[in-house]
Amino acid sequence: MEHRFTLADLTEGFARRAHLPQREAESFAKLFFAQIEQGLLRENMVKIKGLGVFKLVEVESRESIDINSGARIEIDGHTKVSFTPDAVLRDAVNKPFSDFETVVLNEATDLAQMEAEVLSEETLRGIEETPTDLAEESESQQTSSQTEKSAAVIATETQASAQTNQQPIEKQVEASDLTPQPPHSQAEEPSVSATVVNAGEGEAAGRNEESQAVAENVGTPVEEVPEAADGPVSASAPQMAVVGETPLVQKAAVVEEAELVQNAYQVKTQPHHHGWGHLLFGLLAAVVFLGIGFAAGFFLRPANMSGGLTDAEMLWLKERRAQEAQAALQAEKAEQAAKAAKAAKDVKAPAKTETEKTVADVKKDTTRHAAAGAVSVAAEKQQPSEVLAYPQLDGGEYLIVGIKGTEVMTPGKTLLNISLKYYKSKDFVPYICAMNGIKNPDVVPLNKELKIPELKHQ
Amino acid sequence: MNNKEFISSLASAAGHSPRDTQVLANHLLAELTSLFEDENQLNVQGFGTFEVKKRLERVIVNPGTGQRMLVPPKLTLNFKASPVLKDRMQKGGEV
Repeated sequence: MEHRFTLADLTEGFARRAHLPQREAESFAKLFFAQIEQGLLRENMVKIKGLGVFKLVEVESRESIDINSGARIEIDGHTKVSFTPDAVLRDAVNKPFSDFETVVLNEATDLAQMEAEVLSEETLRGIEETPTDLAEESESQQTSSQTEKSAAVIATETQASAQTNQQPIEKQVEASDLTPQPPHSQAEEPSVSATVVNAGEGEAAGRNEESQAVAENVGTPVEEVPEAADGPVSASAPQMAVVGETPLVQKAAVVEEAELVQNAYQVKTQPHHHGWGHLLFGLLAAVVFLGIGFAAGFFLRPANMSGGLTDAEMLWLKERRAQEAQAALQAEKAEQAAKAAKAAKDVKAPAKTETEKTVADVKKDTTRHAAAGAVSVAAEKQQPSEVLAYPQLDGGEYLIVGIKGTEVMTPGKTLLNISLKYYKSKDFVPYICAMNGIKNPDVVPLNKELKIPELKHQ
Repeated sequence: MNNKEFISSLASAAGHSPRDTQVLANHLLAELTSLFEDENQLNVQGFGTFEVKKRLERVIVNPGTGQRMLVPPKLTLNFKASPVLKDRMQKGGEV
């Protein structure tokens, strides 16, 4: 392959082929090429079958530029020997590439793309085909299974919904059958109501209607089921009226509902007495005024809170705290006593009308709110005393007036982080230290529960 | 000069009959073809060099239709005349 042969190598092979002596073969080969030359000289063209055509081509003189000097030079006209191989020889030489044919390219065809295509076709065809097929198959299977699954899910859901729809109705029908019998209804009605409430309010309305229709067909009391269900939940007066109006309600049911309502009231509301309420209000008002008075006294005196107090002042403060505690205790006791009395009264006189009760309830609530507000106001006014109850930061801009929360020191937590978490600023580390008696902020024991101080600007 | 004229002139120069010369020439051409089929290079002193070259694939455009065509790569037999032959051709055979 691609060796450089000379005439001697050629004649060696030629001698073997023609069974000629080497010398004769060499002379014949030399004559052969010499005759080509002679033919060219004579007729400017030699055509040899099986080899090709040798031609002499005249090349005219032309101007050119010397690539070294850049000067214009003229190439003289000359004759050039051209060789065109014979078709047989040409095809024989081109045998390795004979399978290729000229391809007409489309306008959109890109050469790089073609190369990529050739690559993909030749090298990747065998590798890629099977995985893609598998993937496609699996995908189709997945989608089919998904659709099946979704269909199954929908079916189960519909079944479930149908069941849930059916079950409550059945239960309600059962309950409506049972309601005329007092001993059973006591136990079973609440459970029915619970199921109805849990099943959802929107559906419950529809179901109530359905159950009503069913119950009407059966011929049992209609309003019994929803009212019994609503009884423990809301126990409102209008529904009581409705109960009273129904002609088919039996006495036992009425008694039972009344008991339920009573219980609910005993738990939920405290029946009032006008005289007691006024008394309580007056007491709380007195406490509030007392607190305001003390607060005014604190705020008016020279502000050296962080500094030490004199012994007399400390004594006075202690006395005041004791007084306040006693007052609070008394107020609590009075309240409890009032509650007890009211409860007793309620038990004795359950015949109070519902409307009166609700009105009284509202009044009671307002009084309680007022009392609570008064207490909170009093607490606010009492802050200066709380200041003394907590350690303070010397020269600090804020006062520690309470405990905001607690934080257990776990790995990763720092005072800085805690400060940022509670105060949105890292400047409050000293207060946390002061609150928890931390002398070195860099050394905080692990799992130590830190009290986060509630701060107030001085 | 066609093949027949060439063989007759060769026969007269070699002292063989044209038929024998044709047979010998065919043997010689078969040997040449076998050489070129193996992509060998043949250098004939005082005449020139026969060389098999590979021409790369290329895209050609038909100027009339604007159609582009991809020409496949191919092996071609090239002949380069030796300076001696060129010189003789220039001088019209005078050596």
